[in-house]
Parts: sequence; structure tokens; C-alpha cells
Amino acid sequence: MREIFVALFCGFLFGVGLLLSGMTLPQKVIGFLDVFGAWDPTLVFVMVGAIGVNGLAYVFIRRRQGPVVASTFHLPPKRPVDGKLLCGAALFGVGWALAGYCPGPALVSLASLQGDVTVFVIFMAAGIWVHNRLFPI
Amino acid sequence: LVGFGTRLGGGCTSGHGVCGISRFSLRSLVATVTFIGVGMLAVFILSLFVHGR
Repeated sequence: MREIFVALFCGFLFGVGLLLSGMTLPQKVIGFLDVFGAWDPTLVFVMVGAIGVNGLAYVFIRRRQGPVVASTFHLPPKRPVDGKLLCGAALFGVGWALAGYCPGPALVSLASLQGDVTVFVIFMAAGIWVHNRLFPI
Repeated sequence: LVGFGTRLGGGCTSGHGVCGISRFSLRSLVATVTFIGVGMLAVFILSLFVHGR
């Protein structure tokens, strides 16, 4: 039960962070990617700031025997860089540039129930569905 | 594209860019450089069409 509330709080904090930093504004995201035009580098600080805090926390967390709330740590397995990773990241980059939304901010913006982001999330789910059809787990 | 790419690439801006790089994962660093690079290229190509140069 405690796990659910901690998850809720973390999700809330993450959502507020994405909103305050401007990651949920498609025009700002596209401005960040527009290096050959009117480049808006401010979102660099969002990523650098998040990595700074997260990376520091990670060093301390790894020294612990186990997590505070859950029974074990859930870490992704170590895998090599492969074609799937590169193709996936490239496709993601194109979609991100066209729409100005990546998954987290899109889900945060879904709370606004505005037409364009709702369509984006529906088609994002469709993309996930197609992937899972082509590459069953 | 975003849904399919995130699944195929095993992560997004938050998963690879923030959580992965913070864990010193090479895969995440490569993925992040790739999607930001391709994203910048896509915006550039799109701007050529929009401004009609």
C-alpha cells in the first residue's frame, strides 16, 4: 500500500517538473531541436539538471542493500548497443521533432483533454501496439 | 513514430535521457544522442519545406 502512495507522489512530482520546465510545450521542444534556426537551448538545463540530481542519487542508492519501500531494485538488464536501439531512437527522434511531444509530457498534457494531444496519445498507443504485434515479448 | 520508436529503442527522453544516462548506461547515451540528433535533423528538413527555400 505504501508503495502505491510513493509511486503516486513521485509521478506527481515528475509531472509538475515536466510542466514547470516547459517540456509539455511542443513549440518549446521544437525550438530546442531547431539548432539551425531560432535555437532555444533552455531545455538543455532540464536534462542536465535531471541527470545531475538523478546521477548523484543513483550513486548513493547503489550503496544501499535494498530499496526503502519495495522489496528489490528494478533495474533494466545490461544489453549491448544494437540496430534495434538505433532504429528505435531514430524513429522516436523524428516523431518527437514532428509533434513536439515525447511520451511523459504527452501523458501529462493529456490531463488538459485537448484534441491534438489526445490524438497524439491514441496514436502513440497504436505505435506501441504495432511494435508488440511485430516483436512479441 | 513516438510509440513504436520508444518500444523498439527501449526507452524515451525520460527512460534513456534521464534515468539511463544517470545510471551511466552506454546504450542510453547512444540512444539519447541519436534521438536528439535525428530530431534536430528532422526539424531542419521540415523548416526547409515550411520556409520554401
